[in-house]
Formats: sequence, structure tokens, C-alpha cells
Amino acid sequence: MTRWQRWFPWLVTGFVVAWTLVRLFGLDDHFILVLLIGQTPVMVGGALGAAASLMLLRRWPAGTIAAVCCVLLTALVTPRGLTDSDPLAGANGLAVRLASANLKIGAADPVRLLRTLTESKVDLLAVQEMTPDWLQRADGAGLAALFPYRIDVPGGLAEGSTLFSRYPLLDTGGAPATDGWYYQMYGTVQMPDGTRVFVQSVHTAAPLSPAGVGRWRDSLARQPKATPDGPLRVLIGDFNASLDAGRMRDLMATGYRDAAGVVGKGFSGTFGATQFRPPVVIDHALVDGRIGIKSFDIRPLAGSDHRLIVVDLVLPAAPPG
Amino acid sequence: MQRPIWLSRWGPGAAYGAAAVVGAWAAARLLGGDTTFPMVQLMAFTPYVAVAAGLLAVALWALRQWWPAAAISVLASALITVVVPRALADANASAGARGPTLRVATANLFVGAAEPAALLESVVHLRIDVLAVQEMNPAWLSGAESAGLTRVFPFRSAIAVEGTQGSGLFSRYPLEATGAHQPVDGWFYQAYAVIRLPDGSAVRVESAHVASPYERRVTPDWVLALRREPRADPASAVPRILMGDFNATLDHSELRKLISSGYRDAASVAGQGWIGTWGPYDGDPIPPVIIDHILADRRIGVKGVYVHAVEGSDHRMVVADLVLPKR
Repeated sequence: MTRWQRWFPWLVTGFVVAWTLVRLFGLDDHFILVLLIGQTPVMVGGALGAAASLMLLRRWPAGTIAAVCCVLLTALVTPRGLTDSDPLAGANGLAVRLASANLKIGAADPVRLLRTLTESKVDLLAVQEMTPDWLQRADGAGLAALFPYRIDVPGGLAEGSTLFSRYPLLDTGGAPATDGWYYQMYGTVQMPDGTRVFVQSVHTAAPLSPAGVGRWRDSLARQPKATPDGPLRVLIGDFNASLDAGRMRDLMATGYRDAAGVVGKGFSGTFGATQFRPPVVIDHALVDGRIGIKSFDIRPLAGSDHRLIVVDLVLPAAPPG
Repeated sequence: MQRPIWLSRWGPGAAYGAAAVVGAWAAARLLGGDTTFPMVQLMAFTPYVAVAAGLLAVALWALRQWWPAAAISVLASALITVVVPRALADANASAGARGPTLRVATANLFVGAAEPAALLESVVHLRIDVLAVQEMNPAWLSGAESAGLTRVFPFRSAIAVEGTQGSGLFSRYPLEATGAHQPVDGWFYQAYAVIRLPDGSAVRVESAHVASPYERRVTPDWVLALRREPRADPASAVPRILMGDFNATLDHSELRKLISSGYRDAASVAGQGWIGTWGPYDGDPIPPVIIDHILADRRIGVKGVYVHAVEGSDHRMVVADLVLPKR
């Protein structure tokens, strides 16, 4: 056996083990790792393939360790493909349908988007990477008739993330997600029965360079935490992070549920399906643990590299009186 | 190194046999199939099997029994994956609850054999607010009353019965809507009540006691009893706490179904889910298993869980510090 034949199996297994450890302990917030970790569901197949081929080659120790990693990775990613035992969380108030669209710096087709939103009877739309030009075209196509309430992105600036709603928006505001990054606007939706829900259109910095990872970490860390004993909160938009990113799990651990994961749609790719790599799941709706989730779907979004996400929520009943 | 003859002759067969046993166990645990005799009884020992399978895998590696080593490694890692989380504290243990705190405890009195004065002493020492008991007989109740039960707990919802069927809830705070019911005819009573706290908030508490699956004949009663345990009511303004002797571990699918109606197992949330509550404590040669639980509505925060010995009982007492949602 040549030296290469002796070491190659351990190289393969070492890669699988390293991936598993990074995922298990949330060590992914470094450049490249944060991009790779989004492909963890694919890595389940990779680990399975590695284990099977190594065992067929009778490289038992290396094959067995890869198989054990495959079991661990499966345990970590499978739940998001299965419906939770309690998706409605006891909520029995009003239903509300939210959607989110990353417009790819205004390149998404406003007419087709509005048609989808009208057909789907969406109550609240969150957008990211909206440009003044896109807004003008969308208004020309009837955006204001569909959503009478909106939040203006301040400063006449270029691209921002904001909300359009059928229901009144109170206490609106916004700030850049991190220094020098897009604005994220937020508001409190006032439902007809008086229930109020804080909603923020999320767009964290893209972790495409070492400096970008720093901004990404900062913009995730600055997202509003859940307030499980206070106001209902929903964060919806482009998180530039999959459920396998450690900092994303930290944010969820404050008391949010990922709507897609709760109803078993956590493997529906939302970005990058058109490119030479598997799609990743980086657009999410994180909702307060007291809010019920009826369904989650992805729809085509013409002109954008993202897809439209649509989520049906059931709010807790308004307190009496 | 020369292997002994017996190991060369019997070793490989035994290794494959062990792989088959661990495989069957993992299938019952992961795919269901744990609701009939004797799987119900065996399943309680899953954490031991998970650890033993891990050690066995290492041994088979050392012996170069590659096929069974690979199979048992995979099965052991699956079993360890399902039993480890209960030993790790949840990130969101507090559930955001900021209301009043309540220290609750549950103790199976072993047909009234638990020493009443000693139990009361530890309950006072631990400042327990609400005590749930199972297997309370009239003799224990009068013993506890002479030891000062009413001074410690002015409020109660209790039914003392000769034998094992009795049940009780004792509280420092006023109780409303008290009563007891028998989920399965001929089996244990379960006392319940709504506790009214000084700030006006309320929580429904029940002393659970699931029919024990001590032989094949009664195992269907155990399934029925678990299915009839009160489900969580996450839409209700009055959250529920169901605590007692469930005669089931977290490795039983029927208990997991009950929990997933909207409870959390306090011990798992606090990362204390590997502390035995029944088994060897009155001298039986049974390894500790974890069948006494405090299930709290998931809106209730869990600050800590502790397990204490109960003199005279075969069970230990489980104590939880809970934080109720703000009113």
C-alpha cells in the first residue's frame, strides 16, 4: 500500500469529522466556513457516500467514523424536514399571511410579484434590496392599492428593506443592519382585533469576504431578540444564514421558531438555485414561540436570484377587554 | 498477540449477535414499537444500552471485528444522540417567563412507607411550595398530620386510599377547583387543583401516577393510562404542571407524545435528565431509571431541578424551581 493509499481515507474522514465538529459546536463564523456550513444537508449525503465507499474499500476505521458523523449530521438536519408536534402552539387568534422577497437590487418583476401577492391574499410583504426605481414601478402596478400601509426607507437612499401592509403599521423605524449596510425597517402591525405584532424586514450583511463575515456576525447579533414574555415579534427576510449557522441558532434560542422548520419545509431552497451549486435556505421567517404556524411555501420570484417565501401564521387570541 | 481459543471460536458470532440486539433496540427506540411487553420494560434502560453499545464498539474495533464494529458504532451514535440532549441545559430554559417563582416537588410514598416526619423535614428545609405525592395511604396521611403537615401546607387536594391508589397535592398557597380522578379504572387516583398565587396568577397542578407495566397482562393499561394523562393546554390562560410517577422514561414514545402536546420536561430543560429517580433505592438490584418527572407548560420557565432521597421509599423526590408567565 502506498503512502497515499494509506492516508487518503483519513483525509476524507478528517474532512467529514471537521465539518461535523464545526456544525455541532457552532464554529462556523469565519470566512468560507459560513458559506460551506449552509450546505450541511448536502454533506449528509457526502458523509454517507464517504462511509459507504470507505467500507467497500475495506477501510474500516475511517469508514466507521464517517458513518458515525453521518448519523450525527442526520440527527441535526432532519427535524427541519418534519412537521413539529405542535405547530399551532395553542394560538387561536387571527390568521395573517406574510411574504418576503429579496428584489435583487430592484431587478424583480413588480407586476408578476404583485399578481402572486394578490392571488395569494398576502397581508404583509417584506422586501429587501428595494430601489426607488422599483418602488416607482411597483406603485405604477398598484402596490398602494394592495397594501395601503408602508414604511418609507429614510434618506432617499438606494437599497433598503421595508414593509408593506394591509393593516396599519405603528411605531415604525429602522436603521442600517450594520455599519454601512442596507437599512432594515420595522413596524408594529395592528390587527383588527387589537393584537399587535412587531415585524422587521431583515437583511443581514452577506458573508462573502473575511470583512463581510465580521459585518454578517454583527448584523445577526443586532437583530431583535425574541421577547417571550413581552411583545410578539416576527423577523422575516434574507438572513444570509442557514439553520446550520451557529449565530442563527443563537438568535432562534432567544425564543423564535423558524416557520419553515416547524412545518417540515426547512429544506426548500430560497437562494441560488439557478447557479452551479445546490440552493441554500437563507430566507426565513422567525416567529415568536407563541405564534402558530399553519404553512410555509416558496414561490418563484421573476427577475430575482431569491425566491418568494409565504408563511401563514395564527396569532394568539387578543386578551379580553 | 495470540487470541484465546474461545475468543476466536465464539467471538465473531457473539459480535454479530450483539449487533443484532443493539439494532433491534435502536429500531424499537427510533421507529416506535415500544408499546408492548417486554419492550416497554426494557426501553427504560436505553441510556445504559447507548453507553454500553459505545463501549462495545470500541472493543470490537480493538478486536478488528470490522463489520459488527461499524454497525454497532452507527447504532450507538444514534442512541447516544437521542439520550444526550436531556443532560444538556436548554438555551431557552426561562421561556421568557418573568412571573412568580414556584418550587414544586413530587414524591412517590411507596404505599405510605416513606417516613412522614423525615419527608416533611426536607420539604420545610427545601422551602417547597407545592408537594405532589403518589401512593398515599391513610396511615401516612395521619402520620404526616401529626408531624405538622397542615402547618407547612395549609391547603390540600388529597385522597388517601389503602394500598397504592392514593394521591395528594399539598400547597402553601390556596387551592381552587380541587378534585381527583382515576384515568384508568382500578388503577391510581390523581389529585388535581388550581393554585392561586399572591399576585393573582393561577396554575393547574396534577399529581400524575401512570399504571405500572409490571407484567405483560397490565402493559396495555400503561399505554391507556399515558394516553389519558391530561394534555397541555397552551391556549389556556391557566398553564398546567403535571408531575409525578409516570412509570415511563423519555425513551418511551407515549411519554414523548404527552410532552409534545405543549409541555417541557423540567429535568431535561435544566440538563438534569440523567439523574435516577427509581430502581435501587430500597435495595432492589435494579439500575436507576428516570420515571418521575415534572412536566410544565412550555410557557413556564425552569430555573433548576434537583433530586433528593426519600427515607423509606423506593422513589426519590424530584424538585423543580419554576417561573410562571407574568400575568
